[in-house]
Amino acid sequence: MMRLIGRGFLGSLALAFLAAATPRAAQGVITLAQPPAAPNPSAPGTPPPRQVPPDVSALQAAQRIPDNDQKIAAIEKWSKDFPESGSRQQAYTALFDTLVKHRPTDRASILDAAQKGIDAAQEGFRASGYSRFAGALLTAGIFLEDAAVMAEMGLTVFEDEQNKQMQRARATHLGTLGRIRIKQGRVADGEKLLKEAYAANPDIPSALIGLAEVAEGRKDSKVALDYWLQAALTGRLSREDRVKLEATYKNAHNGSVDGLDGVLDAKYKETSTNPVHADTYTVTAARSNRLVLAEVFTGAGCGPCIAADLAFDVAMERYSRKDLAVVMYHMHIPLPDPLTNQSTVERAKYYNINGVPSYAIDGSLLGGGGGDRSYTKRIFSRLVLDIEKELETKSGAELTLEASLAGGVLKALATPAGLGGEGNAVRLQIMLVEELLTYSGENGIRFHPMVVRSIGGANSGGFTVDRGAPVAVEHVFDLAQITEGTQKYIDDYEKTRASTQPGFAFSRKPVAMNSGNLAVVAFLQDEKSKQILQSSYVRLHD
Amino acid sequence: MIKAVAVLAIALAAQDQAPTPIRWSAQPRAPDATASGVIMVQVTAEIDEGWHLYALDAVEAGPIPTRFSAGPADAFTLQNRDIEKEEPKRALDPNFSVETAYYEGSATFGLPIVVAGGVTSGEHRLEVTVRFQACTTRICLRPQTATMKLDVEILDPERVISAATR
Repeated sequence: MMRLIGRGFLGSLALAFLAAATPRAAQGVITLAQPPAAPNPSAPGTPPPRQVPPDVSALQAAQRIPDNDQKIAAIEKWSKDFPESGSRQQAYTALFDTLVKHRPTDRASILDAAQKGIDAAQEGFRASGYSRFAGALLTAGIFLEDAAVMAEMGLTVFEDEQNKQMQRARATHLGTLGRIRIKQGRVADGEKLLKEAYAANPDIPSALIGLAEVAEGRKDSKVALDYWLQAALTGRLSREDRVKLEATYKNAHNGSVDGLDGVLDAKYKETSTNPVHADTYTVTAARSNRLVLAEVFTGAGCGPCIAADLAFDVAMERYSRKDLAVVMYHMHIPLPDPLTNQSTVERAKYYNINGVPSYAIDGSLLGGGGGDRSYTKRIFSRLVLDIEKELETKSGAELTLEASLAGGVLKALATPAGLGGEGNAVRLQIMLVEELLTYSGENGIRFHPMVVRSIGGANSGGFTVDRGAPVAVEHVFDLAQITEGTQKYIDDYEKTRASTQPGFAFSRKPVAMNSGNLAVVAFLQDEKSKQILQSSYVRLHD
Repeated sequence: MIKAVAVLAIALAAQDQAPTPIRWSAQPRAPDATASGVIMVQVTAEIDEGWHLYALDAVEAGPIPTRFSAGPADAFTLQNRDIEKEEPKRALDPNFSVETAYYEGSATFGLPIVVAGGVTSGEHRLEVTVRFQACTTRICLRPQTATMKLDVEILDPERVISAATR
């Protein structure tokens, strides 16, 4: 039996909100959770209000300094203190504006701030950065030559960004025409168009499938298989296309599909790398006894979840499982996701999650939202601040977790302690996770870590804990029963979906669990504030 | 002339869904209807900046298209084929890696709703339901349903004819 012990004292973060994708959303247009509970200082165990992240509060403080020289110095210091902050563009814009107003002859500093502000902008928004700074110089009537260069750069970058977007969109139409030409027997014309489409956008499955079929037509099975593999990794193969891929693979592998997923895994690793890398976390003197818990609501068919998924991948590289436990709840948003199950849906209801990606650190929902791969760094930088703050916050309880697996039955024994007699109601959650699943969803992500397969308790709602006299809770996960339940859930979902979307079918249903790939995550959660008091994590394999 | 207002009342959408970046409202456009006749209802979506409301056309491997229905089913049927709609924008959607059709800012739809032959004259509650999905480049919402309730008065056809011939 493997064992991991967490213990400690009440943490500090209150539930804060909300999954706001836009400033308008932040005003309450979409609701992904409920308003924060008012803190009651007299009640033991009531957490203080959630604080603004340190980079944001430091920048706000710097901008409020009335003396301009001191303000400039403070923002410059801030940029050194928080080189990875997602607020860099805002900081350099504030610095630029202050310099233009109060040091209008300091050309080098003004242009340096502008360039850094442009560099900090996300891909696709650099053109507007150039225009913004050029316009400010024009308004101030200074350095018009530099302003003209900036505006010209803005124009060039804008045209470039638009052109890239247009070429990718055009690829869809090229692909359609290419397949028509092939159907008409004009194979050479069709192949040329498909190759053009592929060059403009290598993620268009129709072009890849068309090229695979052309290669098959000329009996070039190696090239055909390569195109089929690429098409599979887009996550957009229909069930019929999957059968064709397997047929091509079998032709090249003595009539067997064995090893196909391994080949896909290898190709994915070859072609898809995380844009962010992080150093291993070094334990600080202020490190507490808390195991931080990240709960992530995501979807394999969710485009904006890419950045969040990749950011949590990096987080799992940076922090060991003694520092950070991550659980991923898959959802059918916006497209159906066969990694979803009834437990993950119930957990989304608990947090009132309306959209994905959404994520909570120790029960505190962050701003939420993701984006394409270019947003990964921004999200990761924000996560680091929240995770490391929690790492230095004492836990609110002790939690011992033991787990064993034998004969397809996983027994988890969670023992809470140190809760104190008074305070809000506390619930114990025990979750079964599969540490790594491979499945190519429509967003192209293939490796899915920490996939929640089952949550203990009635309606996946966990177990009541008596604060004054907590007792150990044993929960048994019967793997066969869970797999059967998940299979039924996915089959029923597929049937319901097909009733409104004729022809709908999952290309794969990865419901079977690999018993050599399991872990259990348990945690204690304050029912009122949703704050996680302490978590524990046990792997069931080496 | 007895002919009166056929669709009386009305209705801003009964927003029985959670607050969303898309707000729906409905009002009657063609006010005359008898049993077996057609009520035209104008439905408007106000869409917050940055959000996409997906159009009525299904896109393979794309988002759930917007879908309307009318009820109660024994009294009202939406003629889906004849829905009046604005032309949506079309673009390669990074959330789905396919070209999608969507609305930004606002969208208006004209819904022709057939009154069943056996519906008695008098006031009836018409329910228009819309199921839709919305995304920005940073988040996608789960499919949501909004129901708009309108009180409509179905005219007695004999009284309408009588009034017309008087």
